[in-house]
Parts: sequence; C-alpha cells; structure tokens
Amino acid sequence: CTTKTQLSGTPEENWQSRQVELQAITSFQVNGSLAYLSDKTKQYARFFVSQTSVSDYEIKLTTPLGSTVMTLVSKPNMAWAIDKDGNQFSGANMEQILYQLTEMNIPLTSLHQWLIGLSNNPEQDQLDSSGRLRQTQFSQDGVNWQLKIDRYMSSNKNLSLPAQLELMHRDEIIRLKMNSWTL
Amino acid sequence: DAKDTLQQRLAKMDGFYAQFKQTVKTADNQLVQEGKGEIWLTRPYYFNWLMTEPDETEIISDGETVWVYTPMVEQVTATWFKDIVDNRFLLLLTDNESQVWNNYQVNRRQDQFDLIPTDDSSQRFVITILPTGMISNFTIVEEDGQNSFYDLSHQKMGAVDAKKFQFTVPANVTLDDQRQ
Repeated sequence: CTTKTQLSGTPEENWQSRQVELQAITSFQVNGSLAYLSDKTKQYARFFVSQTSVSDYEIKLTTPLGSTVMTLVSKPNMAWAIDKDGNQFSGANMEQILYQLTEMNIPLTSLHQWLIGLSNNPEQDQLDSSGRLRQTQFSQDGVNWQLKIDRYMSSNKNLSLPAQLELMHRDEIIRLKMNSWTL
Repeated sequence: DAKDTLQQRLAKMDGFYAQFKQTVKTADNQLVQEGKGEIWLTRPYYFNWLMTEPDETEIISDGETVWVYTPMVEQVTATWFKDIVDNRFLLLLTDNESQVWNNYQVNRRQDQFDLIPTDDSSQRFVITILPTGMISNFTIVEEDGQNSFYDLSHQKMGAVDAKKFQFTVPANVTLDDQRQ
C-alpha cells in the first residue's frame, strides 16, 4: 500500500514521500476550467482530462453549456484532434495540433507532471508548509515555463492535488481551476 | 401530434426563471463537467444563462446578439444569435416559428418530449415540460453521445424584467466581436 504522508516531518521530508506517491500515479481523471491569456488571444473552456498512461491521454474542451469544442487524443507515437464538426487533425505531437487549431501554446508533453503537482527541476522547487509544490520552473522543448500552484484540494485517494495553478511564459498565462480529481 | 403539444406548452412560457444543476457526461458515463447557475427566458430569443459554478460565465441574448462574458479571462465574446454553437436548443425553446423545428421529429412519453434531428445535425434534445409550460429538466445530447443534463428547480413563470437581457461591456474588458 502507498505510504501515508505523515505531516510530522519537515516540508522537505514530506515532499520526498509525496513525490514517491505522485510518481506512482499513472492514470487519473480531472475536470475543471481553463483560461488562456496572451497578447495574441484570450480563450476560456471547460476541460476534462482522462489519462491512462503518461503518453496515453485525452483532453476534451467544452463550452460552459457542455457542448464539445474539441477532443484531443494522445497515443504513444501519434496525436490527433477532433473538432465539434467531427473533422480530424493529426500530427506528431499534441501541442502543435492544439496551437494550430486554437493559437493556445500549452506544454502538454509534461502535462502528466505539472498537472498533478510534480516537477523535474529540484533546484527551482519551492514548497508550501505541508511539503507540496508551490512554485517551480521547468523547460520543455527549449521553452521555460514558470509554474505556480495556488491552491490544493483532496482527491478520492486522500492525496491532495492541485485545485488552482498557473503556467507562465513571456506574455502567455494559462490558468487552470480543477473541480474534481479521480485517481 | 407530439410536436404541436410541445409547442403549445412552450408557448405558455412567455417568461421563465429557474435555477439549474448541470451534469455533463460522455456516452460511457464519464463525468466531464458539473456546473450550477440560473436561467431567465423571455420568448422569443431573449435569455440570460448565468453559470455560477465552477466559474462565472454570463451568456445573454438581447434578441440579436449573444454576449458571452467570462470574468476569468476578462473578455466578452459577441456573436449573432443565429450563429452561436449552442443555439439550436435555445432557438427551439424560445421560438415556435423558428424553421429549426422543421429539422426535428418529436416523440412523446407523458411529459417527456424527445426531439430527434431529421437532418444530419448533431444535437438531439430531451425536455420534460408540464401542461402548464413548467420545465423540470432538459438534456442536450451530442452526436457522439455526450450529454448535458440540466435539472431545474425554483422555477417561476411570468414576465421577466427586460433589463435582464441587456448587456453592456464592462470597463477594461476585451471585446472579441465575432459578428461579421
């Protein structure tokens, strides 16, 4: 069974055991809302992410009223998107397809890390008092992103996961608010 | 027939208010989205659909333009009523004369009416409406089976203040005007 995170240790100790638990997560489902702000475009959508493994996940973007705007599917060696009229767009990676269709630049390749509050850049990690990631920087495909996790919430496996986070790169701000997590 | 009965009931609803709980699920029952809010309607074409959870989004039709205001991105999108993505159901709900009705066949089971598209359009609708015009719930079903269920409560019939359907773009908010 997974080790229970005892909050008695120092933030750093709790962060070590927490990372082990987070790295053990391969599949999850989360829904919430996404705001994307940049000089070029401002967009809002509700999202539903369903990940079965690191390179096998699906993102559904819907309007507030619930109708699908786009479904993005990523498989180990290919990705595709289906728009609301059923047109299909495929390509090597999800980010490129998303950018072409929506002008939104989102670091999806490392989604499985930052979305659950993991980082691959220990020197930059800043923790909150409970030993959870509060802020870090990471680079993906040569782009430096700043990650801030403002709030946490409990999931169905009493492991706290991000409730609100921001990703920033130059003029781009991606704000995610999560509603419910299912591991 | 079923379509006439439905339209007669809808016609009784010149003004309408309700609170709603929204649940969006995929065809295989995965929860995609949940929301809460309020809706005001005046036939034809006027509506104010206020989502309060998880975020505030206001969708207001002043009869010609639909204004979608999302404080989270400090932006308002303006689109012609006839062009909005979710408009088929709203057209049916608010206008018996709309020719969208010609694209729908209606099946009835007591107070539940299924609106099935006869053309290749995607959305199918289910609405539960009493003889008095009181709506208890409705569902928007996409072609891929994804369905948005709206459970209504605190319903009120009768005139709605016209100010509810007017919208002015707030200060320092970007207007994304898609009305070509």
